Formats: sequence, structure tokens, C-alpha cells
Amino acid sequence: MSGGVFGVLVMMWLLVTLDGAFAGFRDAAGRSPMLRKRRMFRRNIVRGVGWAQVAWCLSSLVLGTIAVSGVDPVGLGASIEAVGGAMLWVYGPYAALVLGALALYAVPHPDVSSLATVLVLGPFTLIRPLVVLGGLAAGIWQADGGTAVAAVVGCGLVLAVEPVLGRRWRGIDPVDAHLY
Amino acid sequence: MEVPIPLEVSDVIVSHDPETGARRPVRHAEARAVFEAEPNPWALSIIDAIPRDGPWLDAAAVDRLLVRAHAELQRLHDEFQHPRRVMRLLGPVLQACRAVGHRGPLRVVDVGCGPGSVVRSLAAGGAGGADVEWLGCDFNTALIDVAASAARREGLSCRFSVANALRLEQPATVFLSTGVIHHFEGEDLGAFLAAQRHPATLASIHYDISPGWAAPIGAWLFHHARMRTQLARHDGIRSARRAHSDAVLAHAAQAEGRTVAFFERPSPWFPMVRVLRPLVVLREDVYAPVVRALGPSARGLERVGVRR
Repeated sequence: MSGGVFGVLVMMWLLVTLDGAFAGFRDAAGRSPMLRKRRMFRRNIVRGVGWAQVAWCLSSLVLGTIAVSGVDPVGLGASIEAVGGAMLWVYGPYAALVLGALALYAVPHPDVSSLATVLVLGPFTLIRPLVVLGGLAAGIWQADGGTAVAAVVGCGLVLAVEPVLGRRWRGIDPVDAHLY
Repeated sequence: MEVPIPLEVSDVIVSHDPETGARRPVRHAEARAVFEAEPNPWALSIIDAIPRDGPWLDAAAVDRLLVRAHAELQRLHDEFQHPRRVMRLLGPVLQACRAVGHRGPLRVVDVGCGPGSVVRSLAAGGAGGADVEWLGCDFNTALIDVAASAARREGLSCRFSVANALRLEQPATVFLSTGVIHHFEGEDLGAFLAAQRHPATLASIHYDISPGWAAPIGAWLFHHARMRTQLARHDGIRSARRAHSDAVLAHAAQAEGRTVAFFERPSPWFPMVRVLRPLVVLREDVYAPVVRALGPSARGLERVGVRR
């Protein structure tokens, strides 16, 4: 595996993991009327990261299956680098903006933190599925058949993490939600 | 031509006797009729999804829905740091109440408190002082049960009551509300504010959505990004349409011996960071001490009218 391919895969894994953590937080937010919910958020972030690893492993399995199916390994490596690189051009700035907004949100003045929410954290949550699909489109533009399949599977699984997490709240009384 | 008031689904699926506060059953067909007249298919689909008990909406199912929607709303308040904003004003108001010689505990009453997140947050912060009594009132028993249960588990000293906050045996020193006043129109708005002009009541602070060009856009965006229940989305977006202008609120609040002001109003150019702005009604002698207690933040307190 070339350094370029390794770098792309590491960056993608980091972004998938980060996205899982955010998905876990979002999934827990607004479930409980309690004031202190840090433990609930921590637990759910861990769950989000866990499901993101499942998504990563399944996508890797697809990629691994392609790799052992007789394709030219050099060509596959180049394709992964091209596809992943194109996707990172979309996901990288998105992630950087969100993390920057989180840093701004930490400023202890409600107007400043609200600015981060209004300009980035709120609207960027809403457009996240479009960003995922935009990155996928950019990747597929560079892809041959095999890596395109892996990219589609990967993006589909990343988008599935939050709905999967959301299933567990059915039947749980909001007053007890902080216990889960 | 009179513009019809765009009602929220939660206004229609819950009914209480205005005199006794007792819960009244709501007919599915009558709730539907309100939105059929608009027509509003979104609201109709929300009503149709509520389980029924014969011709009536199942009150327990309605309560579960309201509790879920309020938990989602609380998330939005948390994100926009609403309790912290309230305390920036309420803290100095409480100081001013002491400064004008108020005797006994300072009773802060949250009108229409829902699951009590604002009162609980303020009580948990402890910034009000040991002489402050926190009380949340709402007509909805399920929401008050949630508030009381949460406060108990959190070890907070605030209290919650299924009651009309304006008719308490011991009147409030300070009335507080969040997202309540847009539910009152015309004479009802005037009557709601007039009922708070008890001599023992030194201040009323009512936070509500600041109307303007950004309010409908922001409401749409954040209620889609942050809410899950269709009720919370629909009603949140409607709230932004129903919000009263400063002029309407100021006119309704003006009364002899009272000073009306707004605090930290949003900029007309970039209003999005201050989604909720408070109408502040102070007993006249409390105004100057509030200004003093606010210190440099007093420049955010804009007095809009005094009638002598």
C-alpha cells in the first residue's frame, strides 16, 4: 500500500469516526428534559463511534473483496487515492468548518456561541446528507467500477448510522432518557 | 381585512377550562376543522397521527407528544443558551427588587413553564440568591409532572404547580415566561399583562421570538435541523409567524406606574444571534435600580414608554 493510499484511508477513517461521534451526540440531543445529560451524551457518542466503525469495516470489506477478486493492485491503489482524495476535498473543509464553529461555540458569551450555531452548526447539520452525497459524486467522478461501489456503500452506511441509533429510543419515556 | 391568526397544533389538541384550569377532552373532528379551513395538510397529518379514544383525541397520547416536543424545544434553548441570557437580566432585576426594599422571599414565577427547564436551570445556577423562590406553573399536568420529577432527581429546590400563574395566592415578585406571549392576541394580550400589575409584582420578563426578516427562515431551518416530532417543527415555525412586534407588545404593556422596555434587542441587520428578546415591564421605582444593577449591560435596556 502506497503512502498516498494509506494517508487517504486514514483521513477517511478519521472523518467517518468524527461523523459517528457527532451522529451519536445529535441522536441523544433533545431526548431528555433533564439538565445534566453529559453521561447520556458520552454514552451515545461512544455508540455513534461504534456504529461508524461498523460502517467503516463493512466498506473495507467491500474494498477488500474487490482487491482479492483479481484486479490490478496498483490500479486499485491509484483509484482509491483518486476517489478518496476527491471525497476529502469535499469532506475536509466541511469538517474543518464544523470544528472551527465548535471552537467558537465554546466562547462563553451567548451571542458568540449563537453565531456559531446560526452560521454553521445548525445549517451544516441540515445540509450534511447533501455534503455526503456531494463528496460521493466527486469521488465517483474519479472512480472505476469497484471503488465506486465501495464509495456508495460507505456513504450509505455513514448516512445510516443516525437512523440506526435512533431506533433504540422507541418506547423510552423522555424522563428516563438520560439513563440510556 | 382582519388577518386570521395562524394557530399552532398544540393550541388545538389541548384544551383547558379558563376558569378552573381543568382539562377538557378534544374532539378529533373539531381539531381537524380548525386546519381544514386554512387549509393546512401538515397540521392535519399531525392531528390524524394522534391515537383516538372514540371521537376524542387520546389525552395521554397528546401528553406524550407534548413532552417529547418540549424536550426537543429545550435542546434549542440549551443550544442558544437561553437560561444564561435570562440570568443576565433576571439577576440585576432581583438585585433591584432588593434595592427598593422588597421584604421576604423573591418569588420568581415562570408562566406556562412546560417541563420547567428554564426555572430548573436558573435554580441550578444558584445565581439568584438564597432568598429566591422558584416556581413554575402550567395547566398541563403531564408537563408539570415531568418538571417536578426532573427537579426532584436533580436535587433542586424549585417547585412546580398545575395552576394559573396569574391567580396564585401569593403573587409573584417577578413573572417570567418563554415563548408564551405570542399565544395571546389583542385584548387577551392586554389582559394577560394587566393581570401581572399586582402591587407586589415588581417586574415581568417575557421572552418571545423577535419577529423580522430572519425569524421565519431561522425557525424553518432550526426546527428542521433540531426537531424530530412534526408537532415541534410545525408549531415552532408557526410561532415565528405569530410573534408580536415590539410596538404591539409595548402598546399592550403600557400602564400607569409601569416602565416598559426591551433588553438586548437583536440588530435589524443581523438578528439571528438573538432569537428571543424579552419584553420587560418594571414597576416604575424598580427601573433605575435595574439600570444600576445592570452596569455596562444597561445600554441593552431600551425604555420604550412610560405613561403617568
